[in-house]
Amino acid sequence: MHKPTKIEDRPPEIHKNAEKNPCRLGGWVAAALLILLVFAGCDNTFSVFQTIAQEERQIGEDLFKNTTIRAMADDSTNYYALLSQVVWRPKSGGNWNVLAIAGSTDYFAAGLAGDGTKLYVAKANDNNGLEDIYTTNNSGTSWTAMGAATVVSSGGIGTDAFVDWLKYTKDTLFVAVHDSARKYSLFYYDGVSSKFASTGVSDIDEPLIDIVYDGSSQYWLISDSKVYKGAPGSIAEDTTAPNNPNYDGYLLGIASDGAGRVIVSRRDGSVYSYTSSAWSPITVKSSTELGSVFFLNQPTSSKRILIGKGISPYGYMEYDESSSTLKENGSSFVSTSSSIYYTTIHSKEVQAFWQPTAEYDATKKTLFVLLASGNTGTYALYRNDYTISTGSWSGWTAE
Amino acid sequence: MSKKLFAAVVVIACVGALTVGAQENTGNSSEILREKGDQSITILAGGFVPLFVLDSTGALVPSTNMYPGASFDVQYRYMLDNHIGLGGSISGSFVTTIGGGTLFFAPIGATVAWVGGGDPLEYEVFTELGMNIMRLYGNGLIEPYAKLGAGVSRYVASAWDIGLKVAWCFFPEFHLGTYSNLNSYANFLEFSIGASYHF
Repeated sequence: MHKPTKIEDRPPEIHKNAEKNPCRLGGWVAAALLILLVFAGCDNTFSVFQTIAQEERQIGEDLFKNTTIRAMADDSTNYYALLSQVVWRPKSGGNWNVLAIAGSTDYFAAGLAGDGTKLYVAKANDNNGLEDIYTTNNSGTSWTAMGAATVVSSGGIGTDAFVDWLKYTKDTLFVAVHDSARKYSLFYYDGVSSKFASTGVSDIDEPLIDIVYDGSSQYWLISDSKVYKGAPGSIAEDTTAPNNPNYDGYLLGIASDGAGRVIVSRRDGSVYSYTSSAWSPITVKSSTELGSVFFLNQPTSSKRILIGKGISPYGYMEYDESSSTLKENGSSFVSTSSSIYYTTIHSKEVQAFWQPTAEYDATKKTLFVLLASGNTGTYALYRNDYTISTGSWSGWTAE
Repeated sequence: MSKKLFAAVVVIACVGALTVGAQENTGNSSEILREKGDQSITILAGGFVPLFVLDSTGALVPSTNMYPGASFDVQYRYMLDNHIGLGGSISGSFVTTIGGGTLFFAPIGATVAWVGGGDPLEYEVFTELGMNIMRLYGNGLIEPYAKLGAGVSRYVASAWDIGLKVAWCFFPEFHLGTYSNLNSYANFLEFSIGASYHF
C-alpha cells in the first residue's frame, strides 16, 4: 500500500523549483492597491454582525411564498389579499385561508377591492376572460353577481374583457380592463343605475396603472404614459403645464394625500407633485427607477412618502419631505432596523402599500406591504403596526 | 442533507481516513520528512461554526443569530527549515442567519506554521493573518482577521497526505469615527478535512 515519503525519495527537479522565490514586488503592490480600492468602497455605516444580531426569525404562511400579492381589502372583521385567489384572515388574528366565492374555492381571481363594508372580486375563466364581478356585504357568506360580463349597452363591461385590476376609492368601484386587441379601458360602477359605465378612458394603447381620489374634487388616473383626471364618466388627459409628468412608458405609481395633493412616480427617479393647480418635480434619487408610491400619515408630525424601487435589489425608500431626507435599506422610520428590512422586503419588488379602512385596534395604525414573488426565502406580505400613543412602529412581520 | 448530519459525516470521514492511514504506516517516527525548500498545496473542506460575538464595548452579544455553515480552503506552504513553514491561504466560507440571510467570508492571508512529527503522523500548529472580505445582503466589508489552529495529517502516497485541521477564527469589523459603536468581534470555529500535495 502507501509508503511514507522520505525527502530523498522525491524527484530532484521538484527541489529545484522550490528554490525559486515566488514573490514578486509588482504582484504585492497590485494586491495592496486592490485592497485599498475595495476598502474605499465599503460602507462605514453598515455593520455585518450587528445587523445579524438584530435579526428576527420571520415565520409566515407558506401560501405567501413564491407568490405575488396584487391587492388587499378589508371589512369590519377580516383582511383579504389577492393572489391567484382571494385569501382572508380575521383581523383579530388567525390563519389565512382561501375565500369561497359563490360557494366555490376553485376559481381564478383577477381583481379585488373593498370599501370597508363590501368586498368586490372579479372572477376570470380559464382564458383569463372576465367571468363576472361578485360582491358581498357579509364577509363572503352570500355573493351577488354584478353582471359585468355582458355587453356595454346592457350595462356591462363587455364580453371581450380581461380584468387588470379593481379599485374602490371615494364611493366608486373602478374596473380596469383590456380586450383581446390590447386596448385598455376604465369602467366604473354607477350605483344609481346599478350598471357599469365608461369613465371616459376607453380603448387607449397604454396599460392603466392605478386611480386615486384627491380628496377635494376629482379622480386621478395614470396609464404607464399619461395622467388623466376628472369625474367618473368624464375622465380625460391632464394637460396641465409645465412639468406635467406625462412620458411614454415612464409612469409607475400614483398616490394622494386626500387633501388635494397628488404625486406620480417615474422611472427616471423623479416624483411629480400636483398641488395648487400646478405640477412640480421632486428628485428623490436621480437615475433610479422608482415604483409604487404611498403617502404615509403616521406619525402626523412627520409625514413621509414611501417609494418602491423599480430596480434590483428592489425594496423601498422613505422620503421625508420636511427635511428632504431620503432613507434607504430600512435605516430609519418604518423599518425599526435595517436587519428586519434586509430579511423581509429587501430583494423583492413592492407592488403596493396598503392600510385598512377600519382598524381592528383603535390604538394602532396598520400598514401592509404587498410584494412580488422573488426571493424564495421570504414572504410576499408583511405587516407593520404603528402604536399611536408611543409613536413607534413594530417592524415588518411576516403574515 | 441536514447540517448536523453533514457535520457528522465530515467528522467520521476525517477520523476514518486517519485511522485507516495509521494502520498502514511503518511506525518509525524518527524519520525526517521535511527540509528547507519543501512546498505543499493543501485543499480543505469542512464546517464553520459561529461561537460568539462581542460588541464594541466587549460585551457578549446574547445570540449570534447564525447557523453553522461550511468552509473551503486552498493553502500554500514553503518550508524554511525542518519545522517552520510560511505560506498563504485563500478561503471561502458561509453561515446562514435566522432571518434567512447568508453571510459570506473570503479571507486571504499569510500563514506561519510549526510542523512536527513524521511517520506515522505529522502534526502542526499554525496562525494566519490577513484580510477578510465579508458580504451580507449585498453589502461588503473588508476587515483584518486572525486564525489560530492545529492539525494532524498522514501520508497516504509518496507526495500526498490527508489530514484534519481545527482553527479558531477571529473576525473583527472596525468602523471609523462616529460609527465606532458598530465595531464587533466575531469568533468562529473552523474544522476541516483536506489533502496536501508535496513537491
